[in-house]
Amino acid sequence: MAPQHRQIAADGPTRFARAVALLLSLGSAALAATLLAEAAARDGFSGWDGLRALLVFATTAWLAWGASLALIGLFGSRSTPPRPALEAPQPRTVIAVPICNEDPLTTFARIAAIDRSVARAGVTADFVVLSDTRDDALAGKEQFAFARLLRETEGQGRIFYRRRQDNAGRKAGNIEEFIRSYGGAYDFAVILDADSLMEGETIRAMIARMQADPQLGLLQTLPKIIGARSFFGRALQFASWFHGPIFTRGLARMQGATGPFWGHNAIIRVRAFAESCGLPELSGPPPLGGHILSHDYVEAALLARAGWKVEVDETLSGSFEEGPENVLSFARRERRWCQGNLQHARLIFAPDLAGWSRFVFLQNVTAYVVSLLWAAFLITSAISTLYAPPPEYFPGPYQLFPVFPDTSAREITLLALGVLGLLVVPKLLILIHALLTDRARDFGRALRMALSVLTEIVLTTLLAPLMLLYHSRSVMQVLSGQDGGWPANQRNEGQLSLADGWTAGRWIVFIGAVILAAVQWVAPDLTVWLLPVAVPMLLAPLLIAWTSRPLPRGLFAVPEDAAPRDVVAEYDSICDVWRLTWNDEHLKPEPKAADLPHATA
Amino acid sequence: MTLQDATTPTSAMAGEAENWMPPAAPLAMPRQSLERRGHLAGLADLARAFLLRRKA
Repeated sequence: MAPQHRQIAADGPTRFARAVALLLSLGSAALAATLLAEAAARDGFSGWDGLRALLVFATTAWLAWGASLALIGLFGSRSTPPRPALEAPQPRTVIAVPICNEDPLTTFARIAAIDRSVARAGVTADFVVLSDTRDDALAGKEQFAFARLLRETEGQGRIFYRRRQDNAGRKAGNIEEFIRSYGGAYDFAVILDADSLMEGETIRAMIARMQADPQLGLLQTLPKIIGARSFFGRALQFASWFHGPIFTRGLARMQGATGPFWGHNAIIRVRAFAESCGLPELSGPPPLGGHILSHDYVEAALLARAGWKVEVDETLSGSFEEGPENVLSFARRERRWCQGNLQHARLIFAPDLAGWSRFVFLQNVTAYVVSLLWAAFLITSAISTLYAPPPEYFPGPYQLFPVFPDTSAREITLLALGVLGLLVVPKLLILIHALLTDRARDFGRALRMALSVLTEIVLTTLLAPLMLLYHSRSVMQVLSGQDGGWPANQRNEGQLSLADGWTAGRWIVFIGAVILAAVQWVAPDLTVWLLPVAVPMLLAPLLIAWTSRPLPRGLFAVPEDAAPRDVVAEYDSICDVWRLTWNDEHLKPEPKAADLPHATA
Repeated sequence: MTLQDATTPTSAMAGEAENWMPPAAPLAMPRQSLERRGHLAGLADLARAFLLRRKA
C-alpha cells in the first residue's frame, strides 16, 4: 500500500454544494449589513454604525452557514454511500478504546456488549483498552473490570489492556503510542470513546468500506446520543437523532473527500494514519501552544494533505455515544473544545494543507469567536445611540407641525426576523420534511414530534444568551493565557439544585442585570430589543437547575426509546448484572498484577 | 456471579505490571510539520508576547 501523494480534488457536486453555501452565507450577510446600515443612516452614519454593520455581516454569515448545512442536507443530491460486502480474508482490525479516569464498570460493560455484537456480525477483531488514568485506585478498578471482561468474554489473546506511565499528548498521544508500538499488527483501527457503543454490523460495514476503497483513510460515523435522562440531555439527544442526520448529510455533501474526524466512532487505516498523523507540539506555551488539543480535525486535515480520503457517512446507523446531562457539563466541554479550536488559528496556514482543511480550521475558530462578535454588536449598538443626534421635531424656522423622526423600525424588525429565521427555519424545514416522509413514526408520531421540535427551539433560544456568555468567557480565558487543560469527562452528572444553579450562574445574572440597567439608562428605546437576551441571563440559575431535572419519556421521543438496538439493550443488561455483583472496595490503592486473580465480587 | 475464578489475563506479554498487550508490532509514525518556519513564526511569537498574558 503506497502512500498517496496527490491530494484528492473536490468533485463537481461537492464544489457546487460549497458554492451554494458560500453564496447563501455571503448573500444573507450582505443583506443584513445593508439593512442595518440603512437603518443607521436615518440619523447619520457614524463610525460606530460601520463597525456594527461589519459585526452583523460576520455573525449573520456564520448563522447562514449553519442554515445552509441543513438546506443542502435536505435538498442537495448525493449518491447513496456504497455498501460493499466484507471479503475474506478479513482485514486485521482492532477496536481501540482510549480512556482516562472513566467509570470502569460502564466502560468495560460497553466493551463486553460490543464484543458480543461484533461476534454476532461475524467480525474478527481485537480490542484494546488504552488507559491514561492517573488515579491509581481507579486504575486498579479498571484492571479488576478487565479481568472480569476477559473471563466473561473468553477474551484472552484478543482483548488487551495497557496503562501508560505518563499521559504525554493526552488522547492523541495515547493512540499514537499504541500505533507506534502495536500498529504494525493491524490494517484498520476502530476508534471509540469510553462512552461509545457500536453495533457489530456497523463495524462490519465500516471495515468492508475501508477494504473496498484503498484510498479511504478514515470513515466517520454520526454517533447518536443515547441514555439521556434530564430535560437538557433529552433535548440534546433528540436533536442528535432528529436534526443531526440532516446537518451531517449537508456536511458530507459539502466536505466530499475532505471530511471530518470527530475523534471516535470512526475507523482509520492504520498505516495511512501512522504515515500522516504524527502530531507535533505547537511552539510556545499553552493555551495556544503545546499539545494539539482538538487533534481529530488536525488528523483529518493531515490525512487529506497526504492524499487520503476522509469521509463521513451519516447513513451508517448503530453508532452511539452519551451526551452532557446539564448546562454546566455542556459548558465545561465547550471550554475544552474552545481552547482546542482556537489553537486551529495557528494551523490555517500550515504548509500544503488542502484549501478546504484551512477553511474548516477557520470555521472551528469562528464557532467560538462569533459569540464575542455578538457581544460586541450588542455593546456597540448601545454605544452608537449615545452618539446619535437628538431628534429635531421643527427643522424649519416657521414650521406649524412637527416632523417625527423616521424610526427605521422596519429595517430593524426585518433584521431581527432574518436572524431568527436563519436559526429557526432550517429546523422547521426538517420538521416539514419529516412530516412528509415516514420519519415521524420514529419520533412519537406527528404531534409529539412537532411539539418536541418546537420545545427544542424554545430551549435553545432561552439558553443561547447563556451559551454566548460561556463561549465569550472561554475565548477571553484562552486569549488571556489561561490553560483549561483537558480534564476528563464528567459523565452521568446528577440533577442540579437551584443553589448549584445560583453558584454557577450568578455571574451571568450580574452581567444581565448590568447590561439591562445600562441600556435602560443610556438608550431606553433599545431595552425592548434587549429583553430576549437579558431575561434568560437573569433567569440563568433557574434555567441551569430546571433543565437538569429528569424528564419523563414522552417529549423528545427518539427511535431508541421504543426499540433499543441490540447492543444498547445488551449493554444495559450487562451493567445491571455487573452492578449487582460489583465489589471492588477491597482493592488496594496500588494493585499489582498478582492481585488480579484474587479480585472477588 | 462472582469473580472468584477471575484469572490473570493470559494475554500478558510484557513484563510491566499494568500491561497486558499483544506482541509488539512497531510502526513508524513520523512527526508532521504544521508550522512554517521563518520570519512569520518570529512575528507570531512577538505578537503573542504582546497580546498574551503569561501565567506564572
